[in-house]
Amino acid sequence: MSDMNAIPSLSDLLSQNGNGGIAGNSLLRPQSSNREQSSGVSAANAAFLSGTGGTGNVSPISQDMAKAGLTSSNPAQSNPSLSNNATSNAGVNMIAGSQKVDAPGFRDMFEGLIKGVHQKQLDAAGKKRDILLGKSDNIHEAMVSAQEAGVAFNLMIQVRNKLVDSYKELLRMRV
Amino acid sequence: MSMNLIPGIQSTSSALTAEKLRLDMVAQNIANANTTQDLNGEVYKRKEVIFESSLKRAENGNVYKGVNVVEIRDDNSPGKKVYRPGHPHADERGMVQMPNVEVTKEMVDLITASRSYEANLTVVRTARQMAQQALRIGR
Repeated sequence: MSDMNAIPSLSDLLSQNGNGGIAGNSLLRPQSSNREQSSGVSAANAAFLSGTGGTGNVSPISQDMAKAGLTSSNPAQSNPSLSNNATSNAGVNMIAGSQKVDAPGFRDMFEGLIKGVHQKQLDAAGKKRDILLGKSDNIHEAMVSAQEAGVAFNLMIQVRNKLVDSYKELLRMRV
Repeated sequence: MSMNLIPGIQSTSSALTAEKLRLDMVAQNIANANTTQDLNGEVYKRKEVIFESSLKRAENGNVYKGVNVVEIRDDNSPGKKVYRPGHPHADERGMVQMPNVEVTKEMVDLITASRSYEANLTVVRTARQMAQQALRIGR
């Protein structure tokens, strides 16, 4: 029984406030403010570039942009929709070049792991409660699921430790 | 999402449940070793459990074999008859039909059930230790 009670509840870990949680926002979730900032800068750049392309003289820059597929084949044509298109494309490409965050990544996987562990602990607690309330007499099932929950929790701890270790390793990298 | 971290735990858990039921039946037999009549007016018949291995498919596609209790069967072998003329359940010749429970046999069954339960518990413990040792690789 002491084994079961030693495992802390995961509800506070799931809240992910970044203070005292398993791995805070800063580690697992890319900073959304950063991302918007960078895309804003690139959009401004692209708007500036498309503006120069629209004046009529075909500059090397606009040729590059045409190669990159950012503008249409006719750079002299500068209607607002085209420039809009160009800015949005440029924004997406800039982000894709620097940081790729749209795909479901490690954060979702780790969250799935945490939820799985939490579910196991809930199961174990439910079986324990059923026995204490007299609804069930399968002591071994409760103990087995408690052990399972303990092992799953240890697995999560190990993954967390590995994650924090690699983060520290990154911090120690010489720039 | 389902994680199966402790190997073989599903089969073992069902085996523990089955052995526990067998122990329950042995207890019932021993308790009724001298019961000459039940609610229907019949003599108590020894109960025995029939196990069957069941094929189960876990959520992750792995197949494991657990233990199922298919039925709790009455043992229909005849019991002893004893001469007790004053007994309320005696027939016209003064014979009382005793249950077909032999306590010595039940004790053997009891030990078997207990040892089987113990063996399965050892499997649980060892499997848990294996998982914990694997988790200690990184340290």
